[in-house]
Amino acid sequence: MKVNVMTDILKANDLLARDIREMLSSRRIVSWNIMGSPGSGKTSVLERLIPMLPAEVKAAVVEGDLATSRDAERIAKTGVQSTQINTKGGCHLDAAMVRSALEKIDLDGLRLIFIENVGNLVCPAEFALGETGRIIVSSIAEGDDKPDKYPSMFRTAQLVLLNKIDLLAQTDFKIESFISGMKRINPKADILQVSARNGSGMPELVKWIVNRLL
Amino acid sequence: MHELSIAEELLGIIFENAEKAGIKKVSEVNLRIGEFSGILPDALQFAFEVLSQEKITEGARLNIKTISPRFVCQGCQRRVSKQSQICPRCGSEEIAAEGGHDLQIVSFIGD
Repeated sequence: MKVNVMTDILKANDLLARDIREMLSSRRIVSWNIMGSPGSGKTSVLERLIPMLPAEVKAAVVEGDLATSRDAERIAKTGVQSTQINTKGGCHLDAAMVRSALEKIDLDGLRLIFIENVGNLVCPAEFALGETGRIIVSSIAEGDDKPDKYPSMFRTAQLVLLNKIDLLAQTDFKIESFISGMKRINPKADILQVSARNGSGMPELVKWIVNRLL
Repeated sequence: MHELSIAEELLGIIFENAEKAGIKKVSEVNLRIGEFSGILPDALQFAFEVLSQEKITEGARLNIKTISPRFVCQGCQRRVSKQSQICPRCGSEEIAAEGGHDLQIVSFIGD
């Protein structure tokens, strides 16, 4: 006997993500899924960005990590609420993990939530977390071919931050190659050149984020 | 990389529907998997086999249909071939892929 099912295998995750998205947007909270390789500077960008946000824009951070709470501790020093998800070796966050993390956050008055995904350019792309959109942090040291090599990930982003731009002169990285790769993979995404280390490009990032508040 | 969690979800869907249909043994499972889903068929088959031990899906075969994305020129909105880096009609270099993220169970066969 043949049983027709025709179901998305990740339907359970997608439905939960939709619930989270609706709950957050009904509270006028915009959420960004921050993705990128280990060491690309996801946490550093947030550390630099959060103190630069306008005072009335209350933010919180959900940190995904395999094993430690180091990133959440770094974020806590910026003074915003942060909570840690340990995936215990899992390669990505999913909607159920985000839902339990959000239960630990006081959502009243929040306008922004950053969800820092596990450092990985492959799996997180497939798992909706209930985010408003996705931001990829890609650093100069990783090379200019990343959009072409990890298209699934780069295809889903609204914004790509080209981080560690202060290292440009020390590498063979060609910004034109990175940009033309992005044009092939995801021409609609914005690209901002930033340095979490020296702060360059960060005012443009603040503007980008603030323009997208609900 | 995350084939194990995909296989878990897949088995959950099969068990639920098999129970409703009164199926005690599953022999084949038909899937649609997009080229951009990041799923390796061999790894999915392996994870499926491991999780199927002593279950109604033990020994079942996965038939995987690979789904290709569509490539669409952002300049003239027409479809172009996968290899195109420049639209042959309007010369735009902005070619976006659509679809190809499919990860679906279509049906399964059993008794």
